Amino acid sequence: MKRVYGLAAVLAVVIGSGAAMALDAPAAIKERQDYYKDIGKSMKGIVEELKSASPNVVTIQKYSAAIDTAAPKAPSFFAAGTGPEAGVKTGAKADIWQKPAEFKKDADDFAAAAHVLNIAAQSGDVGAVKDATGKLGETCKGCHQTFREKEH
Amino acid sequence: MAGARIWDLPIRLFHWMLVLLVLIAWRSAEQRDISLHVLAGSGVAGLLVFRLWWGFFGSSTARFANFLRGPGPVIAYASSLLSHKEPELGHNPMGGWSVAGLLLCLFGLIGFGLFAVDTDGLDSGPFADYVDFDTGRLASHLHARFFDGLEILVAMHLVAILFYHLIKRHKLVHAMVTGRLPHLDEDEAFIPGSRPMLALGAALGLVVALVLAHLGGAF
Repeated sequence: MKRVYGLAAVLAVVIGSGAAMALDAPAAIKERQDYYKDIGKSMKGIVEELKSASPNVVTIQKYSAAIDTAAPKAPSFFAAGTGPEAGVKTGAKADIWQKPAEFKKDADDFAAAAHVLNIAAQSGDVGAVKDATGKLGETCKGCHQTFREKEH
Repeated sequence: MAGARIWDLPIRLFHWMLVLLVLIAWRSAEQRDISLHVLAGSGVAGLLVFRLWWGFFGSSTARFANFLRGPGPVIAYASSLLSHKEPELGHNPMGGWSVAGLLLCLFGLIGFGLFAVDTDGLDSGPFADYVDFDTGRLASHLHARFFDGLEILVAMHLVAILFYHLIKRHKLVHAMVTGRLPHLDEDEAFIPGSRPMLALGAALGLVVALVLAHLGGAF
């Protein structure tokens, strides 16, 4: 009897983990889009301050920290099966999974630039923030140029 | 210069500057050069403001009241399109609505462009600060749809010009360059706009263009 329970427990774990591994691609894509949208919102928040005559450093610091925390997580949102083959609308190109080294480099550049921005923001130097925001934006654009559908 | 005068200098300058700026805006958007794109768009906005003004206070052929005709004249013109020989001294009843369509489409394009936010949250229109990210993204999508519309209208515009050149032998491009239609007698009906109104309209357009360019898309 003990063996039966043991077997059942093993089976339950196997089935359970199998279910967890079976990816819900539309949900994952939605999560990814929400993740990037949050970064976009933070970016817009920073840009707004930088465009104003007297930028609010506290606001910039809040958004910069948010991007710095989020940026390293980017690659985790690109599980296999969440590309164009998922069957739902996504701007993610198949190249993301076909050129993983290039994609990783872009993701690393993004995270590094986000960190530089956060350091600049915490120092309170608006000039440095401007510079770092521009450079962070370049990493967004660079990756989007290669790995994101233009019309999306 | 020979021929009948149909377009005054302000209208011709408006037309060709619009062509140039729309081309620059298109190219800079393709190349993701937002600074140049906003600059060109600001110029287009200024031109549109001037054109609206000139449509009420400008020369006779520029005035909306003179070229936006009811369905009767439009249908009559369309049904006799191939038979009548003489060109219209100004926009014909069909062409008038084509111009209205182009102008409305450009107003929509500029209107949504002002509030547009790119996917990165970095590139944005001059008034993007007044809307949240999602609204800005929506404006950006509508901005793109209006550009699709503009492409269709410009294509129709070019096909129509080609049609008039090849089939009807009306030198419409020549007229938009020189202001005159050749081989026609001077038209008594053409009334130029007044200089003070021209100065006022041009100043209005210039102020709009400069303010938008100053607000800009980059920080």
